[in-house]
Amino acid sequence: MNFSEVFKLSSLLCKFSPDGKYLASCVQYRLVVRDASTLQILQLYTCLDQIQHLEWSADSLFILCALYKRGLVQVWSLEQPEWHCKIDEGSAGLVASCWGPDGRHILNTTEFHLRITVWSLCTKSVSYIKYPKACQQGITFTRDGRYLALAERRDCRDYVSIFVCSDWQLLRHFDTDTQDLAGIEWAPNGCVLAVWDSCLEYKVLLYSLDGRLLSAFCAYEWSLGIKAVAWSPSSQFLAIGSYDGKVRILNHVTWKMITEFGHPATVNNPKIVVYKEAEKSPPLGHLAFPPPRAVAGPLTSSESKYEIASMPVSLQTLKPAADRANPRIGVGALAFSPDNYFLATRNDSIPNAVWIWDIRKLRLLAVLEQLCAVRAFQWGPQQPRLAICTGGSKVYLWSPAGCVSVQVPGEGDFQVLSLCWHPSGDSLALLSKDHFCLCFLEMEEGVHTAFGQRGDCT
Amino acid sequence: MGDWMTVTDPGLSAESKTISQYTSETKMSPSSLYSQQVLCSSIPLSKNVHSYFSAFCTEENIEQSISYLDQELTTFGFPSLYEESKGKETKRELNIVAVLNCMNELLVLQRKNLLAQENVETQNLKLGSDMDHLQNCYAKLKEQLETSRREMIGLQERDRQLQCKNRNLHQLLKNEKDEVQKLQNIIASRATQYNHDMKRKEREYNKLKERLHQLVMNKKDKKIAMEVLNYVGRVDGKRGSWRTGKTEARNEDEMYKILLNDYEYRQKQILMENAELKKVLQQMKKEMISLLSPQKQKPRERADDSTGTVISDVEEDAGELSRESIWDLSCETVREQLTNSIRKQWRILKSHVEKLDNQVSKVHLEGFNDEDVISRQDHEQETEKLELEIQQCKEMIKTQQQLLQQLATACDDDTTSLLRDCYLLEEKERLKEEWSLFKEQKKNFEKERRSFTEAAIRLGLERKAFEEERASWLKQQFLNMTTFDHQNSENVKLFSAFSGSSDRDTPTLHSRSRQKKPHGVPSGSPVCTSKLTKSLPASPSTSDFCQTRSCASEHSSSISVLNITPEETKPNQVGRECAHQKWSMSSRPGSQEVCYSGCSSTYTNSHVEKDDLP
Repeated sequence: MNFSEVFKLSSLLCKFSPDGKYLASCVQYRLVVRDASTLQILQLYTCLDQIQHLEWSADSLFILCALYKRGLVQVWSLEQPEWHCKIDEGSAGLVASCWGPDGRHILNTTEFHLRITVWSLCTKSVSYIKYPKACQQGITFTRDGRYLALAERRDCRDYVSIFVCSDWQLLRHFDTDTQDLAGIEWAPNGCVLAVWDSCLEYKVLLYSLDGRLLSAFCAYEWSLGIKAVAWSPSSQFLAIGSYDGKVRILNHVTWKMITEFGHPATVNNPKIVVYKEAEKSPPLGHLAFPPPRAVAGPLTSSESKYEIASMPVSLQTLKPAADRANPRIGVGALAFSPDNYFLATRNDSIPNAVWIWDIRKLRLLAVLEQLCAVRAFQWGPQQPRLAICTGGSKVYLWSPAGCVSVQVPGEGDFQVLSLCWHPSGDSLALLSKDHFCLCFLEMEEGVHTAFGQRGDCT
Repeated sequence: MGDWMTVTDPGLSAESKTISQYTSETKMSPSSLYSQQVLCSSIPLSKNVHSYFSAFCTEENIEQSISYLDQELTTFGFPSLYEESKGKETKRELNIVAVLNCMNELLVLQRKNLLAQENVETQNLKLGSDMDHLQNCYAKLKEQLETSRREMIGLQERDRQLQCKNRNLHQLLKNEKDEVQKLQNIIASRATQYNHDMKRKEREYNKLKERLHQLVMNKKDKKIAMEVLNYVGRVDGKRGSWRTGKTEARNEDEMYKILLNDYEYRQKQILMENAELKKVLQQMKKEMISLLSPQKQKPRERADDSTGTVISDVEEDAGELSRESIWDLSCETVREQLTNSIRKQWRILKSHVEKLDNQVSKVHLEGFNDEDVISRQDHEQETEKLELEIQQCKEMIKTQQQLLQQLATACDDDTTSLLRDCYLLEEKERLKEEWSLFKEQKKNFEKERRSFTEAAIRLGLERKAFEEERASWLKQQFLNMTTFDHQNSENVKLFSAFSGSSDRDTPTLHSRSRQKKPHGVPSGSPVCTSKLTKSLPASPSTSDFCQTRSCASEHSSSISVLNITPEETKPNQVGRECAHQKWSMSSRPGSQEVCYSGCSSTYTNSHVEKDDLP
């Protein structure tokens, strides 16, 4: 495992291009495009103001920079550096901007969700979509980029509109039986749309592409409901994380619940491996990822390692404040591994732990208890490898073979607040408040084999 | 008798005062007298009795007392004390016999009474104690009763309280339920109210939005615009098409196509899965059939009609399946057939497996325990056995030693033949072989012996020379008498002993032994050394070792040297040749030629070594 040198960054804006060739990062009002492997600067663009949002087009040819404060969107071309495009939303304001799946259209949401403007880079045509709903996740494209589902709110009722992305024609428009729709999400196969209600009401509705209601699911009433929803990459399972600290998994045949994963604070099953991060003062001799010889300076901060805790293990729990809104309870983050075999979850009342579930056996496989609260985790796009960051100077990797804690080298404290995988899964961008660096996982064969050994995890 | 004696005794004047008193008393109440007498009798004081009787009867009132007694006695039913009077005038005579009889009777009576009294007293005491005990018991029981009564009251009270509590709790529960209901209602009403308000607000909000929209969007905001250097081409390279009904229809078509594709894909998957499962089922069935067929007879014998038919079914099915490729058909009948047959077979298999399992578990349970115990016992037994064997071996060695010694002391022909007869045939065979070997050895030894004798003669000569030398040396020593020299010589001697044993480098030994010769102990006579050399075959030393020894003896090194050598050299050899050694020793009786008389020391040596072996 090698680390690149540290580069400047602002607003955690750092993204690999979809084809994996480039890496775009923002420093205040500058957009820097680098080669993803050599990290040499390929292009440098200057925007009018601080960039607040950055997005690659699907074909990796254009980069969108949103300057919400100014209501501006600036688009840059990688092929033609002199080419530029500026979209001004004027007095309507701008709160969100995203690419259409073809990479030639930009969808801008105005302030107060008055409308969504669809700008085309090919023609002068501008389309407007009225009444978009201001919610957690109101826009979703199918993975093949054919359809857009949009949550709308009209006359105090929730609607879902399905558009054909090629010509932005409305395909279906139907009302959903929700009190206050909170989010929509296409299944990866693009045939089923999951719609869920706000946390006040536990309700998941599943619609077919043609607008038929396939099924509705409600686990309980009265108390706070759904917190997060995730489809498995095979579209076979829908995982619903809720405020009661459980994940419920629906199947795609009957749309009934097939299992329920609780997140108890004490783990007492010898089959489950609990990796406990432990501080370690002397430098590790048997670290699976040897610190890079070239870049590594003297390791200043204390290192940590994983220990396999003996059963029963009681995890650190957070007492939620009952009098506050959005209490820190329930499963707030969940993600399937790309091969469908694993599900990683985080129960917000046990913020230090990441739970990894075996989907083939439908049981808990491992629990990783960190020293700090888990900030983010993301599955590697090719292999079932989970990268975790806790806001400290370490990055944690889990694979079915075991897990490691890796110190990010460099002078000063590099606090990893977020991370994103390269599409190939070979490298990982680690983002701190105003820096980022790349972490290359597989430079040589030896490292790969070392990663696969369980003995290295301790 | 005592009484009478007291009567006859002259009264004591000292107690005359009380006499009258007593008499008056007795006169008044003879019963009291009796009682007193009884009382007194308990205290066996002859003095008291004596005084009492003397008080009752004095010289003066003999007559009176007699008559009184007579009266009393007659009233009690005793015969009169007086003789039957012949004449009324004549004074009645005291009948001594009667008196004595009376007395005796009285005494008997009194004894009886005493006994009875004692009995009564003991009984009384017993009863008294019983009474006390019972009273105690009674008191205790009363107390118990009291406490239990109190307890009961307490329990009753508690019961009542608990019931009360229960009632309260029930009430509370009911209240809580009501409360819950109420709260749920409240929540529901609030939710509806909230929703209503939300809707109202949303409407307002929508109105505002609409207004804002009109204001912002319809003003023809110049700012809302897109500056673009040049329009880029579409990804597919086509131009955008107009929105018409046609495109709409096309979109619909496409959508349905996608959906259809998805469903088809899913169906295909399901079909594949089904096929896979069917394959598994088929395989399972085949395997089951093959598994069950060898023990077909058994279940048929045992099982009732149903299983029998099932098996026949199975066979039929197998035939059917093999000739028909019905697996691709997923019609009801085939499915049913398949599932039914599988189910039946499964049942058979299950029962069979269960049976087996039971057996196995039984066996395992028993076997396991036994095994566990046996293994430990085995271990102990084994160790014991081994120890015993060792003991036996040791004993055998000892006996052999003794035997050898005996033989050595008296190796008559008779004994040897006797011993020979003792051996088994196999042993005889072996012994014969060894015998021949030994013969050869013997020859060798004979040769050696000759050489040894020669050497001994030579040694004697040398010895003489040595003696002379020694004398001269001693003289010299006397001349310059220093302790240092003496020590030095001793050191040298020790060194020689070691070197002679450790390495069989004959030339060096030769030279050394020659050097050491002067320091040899004079007690080691040449005869003795020769004897020792003869004993060599007993020790299982290799030929070259013999050589060294012979050399050593040739040069008449001290006995101490010889004694040390086997000990020093053996550790390597003994391990290898122990068995051989043993046998050679046992076969020794055969070799008569060898003289054992002088060998005891070497044998013991070898024996010691053997002991060290384990």
